[in-house]
Amino acid sequence: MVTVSMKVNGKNYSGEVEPRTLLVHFIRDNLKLKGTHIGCDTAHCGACTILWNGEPVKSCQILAVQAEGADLTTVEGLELEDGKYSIEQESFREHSAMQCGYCTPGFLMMTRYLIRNNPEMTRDEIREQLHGNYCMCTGYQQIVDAVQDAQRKFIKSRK
Amino acid sequence: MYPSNFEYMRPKTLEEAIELISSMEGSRVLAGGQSLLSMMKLRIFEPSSLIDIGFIPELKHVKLEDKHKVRIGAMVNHHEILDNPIVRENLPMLSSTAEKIADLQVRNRGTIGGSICEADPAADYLPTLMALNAKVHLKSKSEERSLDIEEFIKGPFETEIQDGEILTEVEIEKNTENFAVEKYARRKADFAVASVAASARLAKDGKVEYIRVAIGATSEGPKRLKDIESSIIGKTSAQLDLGQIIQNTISKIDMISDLHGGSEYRKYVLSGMLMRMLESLITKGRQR
Amino acid sequence: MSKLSTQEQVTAHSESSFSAKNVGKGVLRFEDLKIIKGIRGYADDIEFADQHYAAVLSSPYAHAKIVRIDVSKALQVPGVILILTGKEIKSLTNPMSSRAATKSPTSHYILAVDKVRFMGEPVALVVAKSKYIAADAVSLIEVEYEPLPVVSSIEEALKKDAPLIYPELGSNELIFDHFEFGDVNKAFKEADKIVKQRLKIQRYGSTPLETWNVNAYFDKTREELLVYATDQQPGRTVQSVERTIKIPASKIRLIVPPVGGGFGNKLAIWHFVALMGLAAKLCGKPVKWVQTRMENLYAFHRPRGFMDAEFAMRKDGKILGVKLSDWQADGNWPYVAALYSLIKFANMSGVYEIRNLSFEYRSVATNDPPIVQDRGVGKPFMSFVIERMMDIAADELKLDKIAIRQKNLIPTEKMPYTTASGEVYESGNYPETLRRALRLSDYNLKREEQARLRKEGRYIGIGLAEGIEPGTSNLGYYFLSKADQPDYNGAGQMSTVEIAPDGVVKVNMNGPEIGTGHVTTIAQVVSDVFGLEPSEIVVDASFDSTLGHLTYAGTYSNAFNDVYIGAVLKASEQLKNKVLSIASSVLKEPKESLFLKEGYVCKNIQTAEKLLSFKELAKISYGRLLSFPKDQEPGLKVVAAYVNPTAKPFVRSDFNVQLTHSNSVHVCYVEVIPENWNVKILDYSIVHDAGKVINPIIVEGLAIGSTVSGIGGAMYEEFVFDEQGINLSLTFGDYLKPTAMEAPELRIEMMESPAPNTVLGTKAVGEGGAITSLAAVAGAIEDALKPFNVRITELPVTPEKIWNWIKQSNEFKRISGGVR
Ligand SMILES: Cc1cc2nc3c(=O)[nH]c(=O)nc-3n(C[C@H](O)[C@H](O)[C@H](O)COP(=O)(O)OP(=O)(O)OC[C@H]3O[C@@H](n4cnc5c(N)ncnc54)[C@H](O)[C@@H]3O)c2cc1C
Ligand code: FES
Ligand code: FES
Repeated sequence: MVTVSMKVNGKNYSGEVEPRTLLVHFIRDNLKLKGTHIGCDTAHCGACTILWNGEPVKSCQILAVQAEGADLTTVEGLELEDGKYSIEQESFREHSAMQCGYCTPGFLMMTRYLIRNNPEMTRDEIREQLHGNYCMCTGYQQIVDAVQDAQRKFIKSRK
Repeated sequence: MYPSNFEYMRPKTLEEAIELISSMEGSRVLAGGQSLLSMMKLRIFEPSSLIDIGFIPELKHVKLEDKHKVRIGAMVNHHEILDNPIVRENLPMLSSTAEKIADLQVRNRGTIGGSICEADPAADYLPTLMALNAKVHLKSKSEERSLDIEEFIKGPFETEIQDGEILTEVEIEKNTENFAVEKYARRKADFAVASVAASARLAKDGKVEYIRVAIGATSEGPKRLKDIESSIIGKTSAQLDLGQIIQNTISKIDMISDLHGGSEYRKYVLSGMLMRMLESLITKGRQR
Repeated sequence: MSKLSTQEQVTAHSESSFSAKNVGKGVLRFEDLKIIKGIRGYADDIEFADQHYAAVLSSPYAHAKIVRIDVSKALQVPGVILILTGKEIKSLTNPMSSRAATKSPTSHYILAVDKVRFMGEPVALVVAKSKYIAADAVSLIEVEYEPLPVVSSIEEALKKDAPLIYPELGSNELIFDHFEFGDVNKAFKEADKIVKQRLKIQRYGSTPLETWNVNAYFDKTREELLVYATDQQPGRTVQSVERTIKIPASKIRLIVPPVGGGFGNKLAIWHFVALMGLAAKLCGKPVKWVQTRMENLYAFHRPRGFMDAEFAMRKDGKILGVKLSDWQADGNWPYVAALYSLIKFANMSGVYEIRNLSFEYRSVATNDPPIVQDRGVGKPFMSFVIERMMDIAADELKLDKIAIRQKNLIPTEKMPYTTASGEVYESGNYPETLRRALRLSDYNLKREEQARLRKEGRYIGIGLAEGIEPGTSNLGYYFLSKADQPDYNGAGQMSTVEIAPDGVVKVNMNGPEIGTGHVTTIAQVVSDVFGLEPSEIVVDASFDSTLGHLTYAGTYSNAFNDVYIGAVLKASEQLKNKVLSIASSVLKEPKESLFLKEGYVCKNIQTAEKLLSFKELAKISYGRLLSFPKDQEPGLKVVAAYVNPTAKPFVRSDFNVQLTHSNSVHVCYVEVIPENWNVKILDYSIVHDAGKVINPIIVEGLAIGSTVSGIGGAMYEEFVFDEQGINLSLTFGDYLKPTAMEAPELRIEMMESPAPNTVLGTKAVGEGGAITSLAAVAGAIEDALKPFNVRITELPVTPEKIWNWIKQSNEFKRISGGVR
């Protein structure tokens, strides 16, 4: 067993894990944050996407022990403090950018990163940035709509 | 999928890491884990211990030395290579290559050292590093050495690295020649069906005075195409039968053959890419 | 056998007072409020105290004898509490049986017994304290296999001395049957031209992002098995589990939380429910199994196969008759053998008038892995065959592709239309759908552009396909090739509606929610009955077997909009009627003068005077039993079952396998890039008629998503096997799903031809894209490759295949010059 400490959604956690524990299992099983999903096991589908010091990574392809000292954000960390939905959450809901919703947390985390780092993407560019996230239900169109809208909302919020 | 158990070490310095790796038998270096963890989850690979080199600041540098030598630490990830101003300015070909690897999330974890040591025959960096004449630095308890990338890569998933050695950095001469880097795959994150990295410089009279061409996804791994280079150098595009030159070389090469493409198809794609890319490189320069 | 007249069959039966206010609106989904917070509560999110975990050992061979299994090392791993192999399974369980096959195999169990028949077949099960330990133990089980010759194709399977998948059947041909309608011989005699083609379909499948999950606990005190599972047809599962592991159905409580995508893929999970149920009973601990993606990709796909199609054509393009011969490698899953063939009757005629039709089919056992009822089942391939044949016939007769279709479309005046085999197309306006699609896609402009760009050396193509999208299964077609009548049917469902003691209207549809917006759709419908806002209705879209349900309860075959809505609406109206009766007694007002609005019983339409709140009414109905009206029963809860009345009994000469039929036209515009023969979809238009639409946002989303899944099948997805039956597509790196970069932007337009035989006029939604897109995409690529003279008869159309098709052609030699 190895001790790891990390910050998740602004709170400090520390726990004992077997070194082989995947970060996604640590998040789901130890921290009981069930919003991060597993869709492929092999770093293809993006369902397990979280932010690591603000940047998206696939938590199924990382050991929990590698996250020592990291600052992580999961979908549970998106909501604003006053219980309001964040820009990403609002846009996804307003554009019905989900069906079964299994992929949604991953896409939301991507959106959080993308609109802050590249708020002027075209639809094609959005599609390109999202190619590491699979959605088996929607055909992606409404997801692209939602990200576009989130960009607009984000730009507006900074003015 | 669940990896089997192993012992985990988290050295804070390079020295400590080298000490660990030479003292622990059956141990493996863990860099970004984007290749290694896949194999471990599938239990194709079950190392008895992992030395995590992700906490060693000495492996994360990008430096420009004497204005012409770029040194990149082994643990610099693909995203940083694509984003880093030193790399963008001095090695635009490399940062442009990084953009083609996998997806944003994987690029945020996977490292240049890991990609080189993994030596996937279709890895995107390798043809580019060959075209850039990169050197890799290796360090073990007893020795420090550096090898040309072409010497280092022995074949598919095979390198010159010895037990107890860590790849510490990649050293590349500044190179801002005209270049073209392309990968063809059905989906962007897939490994290349065919890939080409090439750069060239033309003299005032239109003669090619510098050219480098390397390809990926051959059955023997990435390859520099010296035949093509030597047929082109010193000539103008008008003096060249590019089609024939490419054909001569490609006919001697075997490509990977799997469900993403048979060897013959891959050759077809590769020749088309080479033709178009080289043609534009050796005519473009002239227009300047 | 008296034949119902078509008119009678489709008579609307709902005499409801239903008035639509929220039905038809694009209400934003309530489901999403949970999803975006990451608290949807999928099966894998649920944990029991003292949770244990199961892992499966899968066969590395496609066909092999199991000589010996040694679990001793695995048993020694600390934390391992149970290991099951075929030996235990054989003594403790019953084998599976076939639904459609006349003879059923007797040797196929939920774990392999004595031999394995496909790569990935479960051979042993481990239960341990953690997922990781279970996986450790699996890797320590030693199995000695003796490889057997592998049957990897239909042709091999049918050879005289072929190795037998099920020796007890004496043949690999599980079923052969032949149907004939009209006078096929005459049609073929009179034809000017007979157009023949063999068309092939690959193995592919929907791969819901959530894999299969089962979490089972056997409660000794109640002798009851409690299971959470990602199950799309839980009603059937309860029975199959009862049969297999011998726990009475009344002692099985199966709960299906929201499912992370279904697409039919999760209809076969029942055998894992049985396996985990048995393990839980034996070990006394709650046992959770979460399928790995690799396990998910091993098996349960669409079958590969081919169809020989012959169209007897008049030279003006009129179809006189059709002969079809269907061959399917049903792998080895006796349970649903032949299903893919039989369901093709639902859209066998497409949108065309075809009166003379023969169909024969063979269901063949091979060492392909099992199949499952994947999105649209046999209908995508059926539609592919018909629409490809229309293109091919147009080519051979030198007719325009649109004109030949128009010549054969079922005229709107003939609606409702009964096909040669008895399928009833209840409504639709096919010529208009086509007209609109041509307009929406700028078809004529695109033809001009195509001609212009071809002169510039670019290969642009347009494909068009029209498809029928059937919904609601009259499941008895399984029995078409058997003598007996079916003892089950998919044409009905049962749901519950109540006003809870606190006055809140609650609905339990009692069926799995697989991501298709059931919560919101139901809230819209029920809100209109009770005069409330959709947000005020509490909808539980999950399944619990202890609540009322019919045998084939589940979310499948595009039936929700018909039968679940039917059941919910029926229960709502009964409850509303009861509410008004009670209110009338209590308020001493005539019942006819009362109505419901904003949570109150009101009178006077103009002023909407609020007389009694639901809260008050609930208090009276649940508690004040002494003053409660004597002619009423206390409580405000109604369970109602609804059956679509147009399901016919099964007679071989006249049957309907599905009860609603949406239709759509897809127009696909592509460019093929000669450097690598990659195909880029430049534009894609859909006109979709799914009858009355309850929520256009949801329906549009399903049409788009379904189309992209079809594009996956048309261009990317295939499970590839080597000669030894080894599946080479076991990760998403090797089984290629379309990402946002491969999916085109789609243009979509809705039409509404209400179904006369469903309560709200709704029809199937959700499979149409997967059905119609295959031929549209293939047709577009073929059109682009016209200069190369290619006929596309198989999928997926990959760049490498295109290259192989064209590399000998003159056009290819012309464009590649001396270079290659
Ligand atoms: C979904 C997906 C898609 C991908 N697509 C592409 C693609 O399109 N193109 C492409 O090029 N790559 C692709 N990759 C691979 C990716 O680039 C990996 O990041 C890279 O191959 C390995 O880097 P790593 O840092 O993750 O190494 P690791 O996985 O940590 O290590 C790889 C191997 O190298 C050894 N090693 C690592 N670093 C050192 C060192 N400094 N010294 C000695 N030994 C070392 C390890 O022991 C291990 O054997 C993809 C990966 C995934 C998961
Ligand atoms: S589960 Fe991590 S990428 Fe699919
Ligand atoms: S909504 Fe189901 S996977 Fe995206």
